[in-house]
Amino acid sequence: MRQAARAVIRIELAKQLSRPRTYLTLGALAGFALALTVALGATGPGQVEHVGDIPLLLVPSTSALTIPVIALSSTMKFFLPLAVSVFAGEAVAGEARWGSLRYMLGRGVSRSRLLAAKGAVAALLSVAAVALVPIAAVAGGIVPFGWHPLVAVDGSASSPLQQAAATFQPGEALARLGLAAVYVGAGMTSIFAFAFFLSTVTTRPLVAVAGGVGLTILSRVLNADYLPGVAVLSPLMPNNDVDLWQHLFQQPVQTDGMLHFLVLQAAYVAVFLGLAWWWFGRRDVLA
Amino acid sequence: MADSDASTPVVQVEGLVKRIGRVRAVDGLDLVVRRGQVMGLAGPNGSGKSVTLKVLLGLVRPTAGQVRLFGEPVRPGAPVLARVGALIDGPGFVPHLSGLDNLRLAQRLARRSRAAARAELAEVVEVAGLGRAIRRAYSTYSHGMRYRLGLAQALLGRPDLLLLDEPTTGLDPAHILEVREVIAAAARRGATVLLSSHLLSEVEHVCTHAAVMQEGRLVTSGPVGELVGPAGTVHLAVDDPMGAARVLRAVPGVRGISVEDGAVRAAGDDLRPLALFGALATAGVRVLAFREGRSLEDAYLALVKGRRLAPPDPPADEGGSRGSPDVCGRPPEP
Repeated sequence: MRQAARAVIRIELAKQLSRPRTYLTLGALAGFALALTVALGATGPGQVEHVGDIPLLLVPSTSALTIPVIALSSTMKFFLPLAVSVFAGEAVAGEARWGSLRYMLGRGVSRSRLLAAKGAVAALLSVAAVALVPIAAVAGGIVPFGWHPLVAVDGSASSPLQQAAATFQPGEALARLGLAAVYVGAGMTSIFAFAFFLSTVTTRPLVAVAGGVGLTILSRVLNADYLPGVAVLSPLMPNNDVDLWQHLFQQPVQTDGMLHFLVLQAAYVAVFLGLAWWWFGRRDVLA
Repeated sequence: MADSDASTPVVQVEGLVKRIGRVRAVDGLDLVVRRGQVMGLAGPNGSGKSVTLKVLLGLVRPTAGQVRLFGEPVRPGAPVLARVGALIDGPGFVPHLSGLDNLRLAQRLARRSRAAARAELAEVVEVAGLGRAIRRAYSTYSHGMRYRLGLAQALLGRPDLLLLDEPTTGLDPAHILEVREVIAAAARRGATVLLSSHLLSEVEHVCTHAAVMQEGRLVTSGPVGELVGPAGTVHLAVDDPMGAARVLRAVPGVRGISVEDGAVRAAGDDLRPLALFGALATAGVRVLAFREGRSLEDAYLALVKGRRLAPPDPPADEGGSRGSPDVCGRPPEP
């Protein structure tokens, strides 16, 4: 039983790791982080970057550890949801489009097992995508900006006369960056689950990918911060509070809203992965 | 095993109904395929053949009815499906992987020793007959190459049952012969084969048994020889059908003559084509082509037009309600 499950996961992993698309997607994310580093370096020392809604005020030239904060902020609202949607949306629909899904199932592979293997591999690639952004950003920033403590100024608590600055030693900054990446990763799970569900419904991967990205866009549109009239819907939108991790770089740390966000993600995951399992177990595989 | 009794049908379909939307793609199908048979599931496009095969593979859930393979009920993921090799709705492979890598991936699903797996892989690679192209990306393959790889994949694991949906579609004549040989070889080693084709001639050439479907229903089934009927007829395409009919009536052994769409059909006992050719040549009638007996296609057409199936109609002149006889073969020079 366990051997069969491992075989299905290994097959799925071999398929996905041999796809040019996998490396293009991950490469584009890493490339974006590196390009960001180059661009920030080119603006010259002393340039202050306003990050997020707080905003956090960072000076990139002071430490390589500022770059992943900026990179995560820049990618969490579109590039990462897109990458996650690609991995999740293509998982089942891509196999159906190739015509190989019916042969996997026709050899007696259990549908639940196949779905679990595909979900696990797509999740692994999604985690890699989220992790790659801060890793590439730190790696790219070390040479030009050095390995120094991270200084973050809380823009919301500062005045022209007094700056609310927090200094994080490299080790602590890395730990908070790790937490931030986990939080962003958790914020991608709703999009992952939705795109994965669509992947079991359609045989066109593009539809499933577009669905994941569409949910992200819908979430941004129905955001009470910008459109107060949608205050009823806004708390249910899965991507609105993905930027709350920036509060990890305030002193003291603000965690308001984070738990609600994580619970919301769990609810989306439970609903859409449940639907995916229910539907895939019952659907006729005609393609 | 549930099929320890050799009399257990390999495929048993009872009252199968499958609705797709408002259409009853399969409408009360009963079908039995026994061990060692090469069963052709014949019928026009849209008659429900492919859907039936997909139900057998657990890909499509029946609306009603029961389906068993080797005595075990079929459901998605049923262990019995590991004994089945299939080529359904054309081949399907990972496009960026080579043919060989695709076969290796498919092989990983089966638990075998490394040596056995290697030998089996070499065997099916030989069947695919792709030469060096087996190491090329699948996306670069031609239609025919893809089908051959699909057939090779179906043979992985030496399945006890082969389900083949239109396995010769788009292949050139040489490869069609190769596919027929592969099917025959599988049958020789004891595999049961159920293949669908809209080409009745294909079924006639390849299969020991046939089941003919139309509009989701079984029209008839049985050994091909029985369905086709006795070979007591000779079809002749000639340049002067009426003249040929007059001449052939006088040939000993001929019991009846009919003329249909420019061809003459002679029926009788122990008919010898050479005797007929000789008589026609003497009378100056030129024979363009001939065929002995009738084809499965003739039998099918006769059946769906409300005629009774085999044996052939009594030898008597009759109107041309049937289509043009499918004459084939060249006569010897008189």
